[in-house]
Amino acid sequence: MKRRVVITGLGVLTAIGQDVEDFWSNSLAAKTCVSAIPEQWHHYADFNSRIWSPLPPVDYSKYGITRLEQKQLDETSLIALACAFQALDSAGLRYGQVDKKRNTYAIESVDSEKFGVFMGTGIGGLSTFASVFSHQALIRQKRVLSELISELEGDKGVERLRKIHERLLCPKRFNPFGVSMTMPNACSGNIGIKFRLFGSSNTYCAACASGTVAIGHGFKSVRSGEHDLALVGGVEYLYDDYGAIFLGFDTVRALASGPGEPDRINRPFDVDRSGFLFSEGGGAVLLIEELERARRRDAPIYGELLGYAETSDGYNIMMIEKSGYNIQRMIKKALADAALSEKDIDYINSHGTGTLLNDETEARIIESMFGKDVWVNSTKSLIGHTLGASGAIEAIVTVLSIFNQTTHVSRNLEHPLKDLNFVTRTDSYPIKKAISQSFGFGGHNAVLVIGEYHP
Amino acid sequence: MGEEMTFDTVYKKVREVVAEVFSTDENELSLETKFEEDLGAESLDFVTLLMEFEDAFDKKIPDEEAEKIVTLSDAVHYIMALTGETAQS
Repeated sequence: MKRRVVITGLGVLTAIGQDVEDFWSNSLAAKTCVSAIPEQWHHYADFNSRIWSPLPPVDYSKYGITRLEQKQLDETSLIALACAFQALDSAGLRYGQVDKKRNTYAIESVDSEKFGVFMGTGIGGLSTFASVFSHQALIRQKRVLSELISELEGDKGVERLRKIHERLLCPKRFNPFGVSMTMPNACSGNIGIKFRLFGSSNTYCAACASGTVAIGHGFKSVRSGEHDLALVGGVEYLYDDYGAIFLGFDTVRALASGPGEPDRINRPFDVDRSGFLFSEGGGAVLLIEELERARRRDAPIYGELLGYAETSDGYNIMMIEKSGYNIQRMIKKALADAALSEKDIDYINSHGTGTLLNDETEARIIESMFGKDVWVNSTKSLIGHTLGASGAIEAIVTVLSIFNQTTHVSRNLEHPLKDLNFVTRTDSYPIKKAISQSFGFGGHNAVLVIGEYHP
Repeated sequence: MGEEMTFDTVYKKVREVVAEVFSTDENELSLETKFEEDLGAESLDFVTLLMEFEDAFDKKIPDEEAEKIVTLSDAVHYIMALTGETAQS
């Protein structure tokens, strides 16, 4: 008989909430955090999309993360650690410092050799790399430019040179931690180091499906008995001084754009959708645990992981395959893994990006497999797209929707592209079983089946 | 740095930096404290130390200089000399 795997801890950090309580209440209130992209980016390019969802500053010191750690860890690792601390706290697991200098902890009453870390990220520490690269490319050239400006002082045109000099943004010093901050696996590595965990420690890179893939692999590992517990989730951080990461998505017309109020432009599944809302970053981490172990320690149980499947489109690096055949095959596989059928599912937390083709394909799949028998929403309608973190954040929304028997609306959905049972008002919803699905650039498809916990 | 760089002011700041990098009490540090032997410094600690000295004193310290800095006293003297050299140039 397969071991059962339950969710006993939750941690989340997003543009609309930096802990589970705030995130959930703001989600139910359909809050969003949308503003104009940073003014300085306009010096470097013309953008089609002019909005993003910035991540408000995070106080990492409240997690005991020191000033030096904050300088030496990429934002993705800091987000991962903050979410991991939240997940452990909500799971009622205690930890104590074991090394003052390294500021590391040991978790009480767990076998650290059977405790895994499974994280996902789309592009890891690219933000750090952009900063390191700008230093390397520009610092000496800026020095030459400075000398030239001094020599030409008083000349016509020197002000323009001074402006160019000002706009060549780069750190004063080469960051010696550039490698350890850039590598995508740092988010898993740093959780394992912080809590002295000795099981598997892997980072899954499957673009926008990364978080879902990571949770799925962690789930299978705990179910198989390889691990007893695991911290699983996803993180992303996409800021750079020049808006180059943003432009990468904007230039292929993937981002939400258009006239009107900034917080009304992002509208997944609406006929007037124009792309996804670029999110600066965020993350989520869940603690998953083998059921009997969780019962023995009287752990809080927020839900149960019932099944997982993943497939590949094998079609295009940036476009979803229109027929959705491999996504449907994946959902069927995941339901079979959970010993369920379509009629058992009450709610779908969709991938719901707001891009033209994605939403059309996903809506058609939902219509053909589930019809109007499931409630559907898009968490990206609130917080935008956090790429590799999105699947983990949405898994948390799915768990909370089951646990609280309610869920958030799909924001700005005024003219649905299909007649599905979209959530358009916050109400009581008897959600017992649900799926949370993600589709990533590269054709990576992944889906989790999550259910209410029954002893 | 606005304030005058005396031995005492440099030593005070060096102690603050070292205490933070090695998570130790300033009172446990003296001029004779050795980074490797007494504080268990590893190569990455020296990288951090040099970065923090650079920030604290607003001076560039070449990486290869780390090898010459064995004790807190060495660090203080090195930074004093660096300040003096810069002042002369």
